[in-house]
Amino acid sequence: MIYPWIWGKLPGGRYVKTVCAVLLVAAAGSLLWYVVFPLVDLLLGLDEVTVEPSAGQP
Amino acid sequence: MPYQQDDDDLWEPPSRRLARGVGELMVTLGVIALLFAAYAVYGKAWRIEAEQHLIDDRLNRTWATANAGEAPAPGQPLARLHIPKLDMKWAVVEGVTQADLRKGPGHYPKTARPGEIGNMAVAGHRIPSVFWDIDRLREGDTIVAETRNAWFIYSVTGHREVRPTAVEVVAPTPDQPGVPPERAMLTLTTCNPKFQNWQRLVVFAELTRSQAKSAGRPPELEKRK
Repeated sequence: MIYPWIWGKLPGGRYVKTVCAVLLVAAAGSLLWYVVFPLVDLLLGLDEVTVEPSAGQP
Repeated sequence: MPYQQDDDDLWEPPSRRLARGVGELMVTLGVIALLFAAYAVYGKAWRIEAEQHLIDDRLNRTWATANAGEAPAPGQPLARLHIPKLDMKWAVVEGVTQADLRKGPGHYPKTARPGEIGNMAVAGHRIPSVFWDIDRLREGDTIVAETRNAWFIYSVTGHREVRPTAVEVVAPTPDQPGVPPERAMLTLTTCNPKFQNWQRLVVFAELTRSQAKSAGRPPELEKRK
């Protein structure tokens, strides 16, 4: 129900709302791509590629 | 009152509103998961490709300005690695920290340098612009290390999966820690299976010959099997 609520809060008519919505999606997407995903990736440790004495130890 | 005159929304029972809310949440999480999958495959690859452009230029500049004998600083490029079979080449940086590996394949500090007797060990991400396909390398395939003055042609001797703690694969004599090295080896490590981290894929290669830069590009670089 969050999307209809956001749509209702966006200013202007249908076209202004559409532009605002696209901007919001782009902002959320870049936040995920450039900030959240790199952090998540580090936490998951899927990019450990070296052999070392302590690697992979729980 | 089934209908709210001054609201655009149709009236719904609470259970239906809840179901729609949960549905929206599920779709949102699904889209985020797909986006993360795209990031894991392409996003990281693009970032490393961009870094490789910079690091490759820096390597060329370093080679143009003498002092080739110096050990490279951590995070700085020290050599180029070519795998003709996979149509890949990279500038290899010194060090295997996460920051180093974001620039491309990294050279394990204190292991041999290209062409030296010992074991030159290199780690790289298992993503499309780095070591994605090195499991396709077979015995006899060529890996070429390029330094300022020479080409070193290594021939793959085999590959296998090991546990992440198997440090013996990067020992000067692979698999025999403490044994003084007699041969010049090259060892690549990456994660295995793809996108998982409970194993390491290791490719071993042995130096077969070297060639001075002044003698031109080695024919092995053009060969595609």
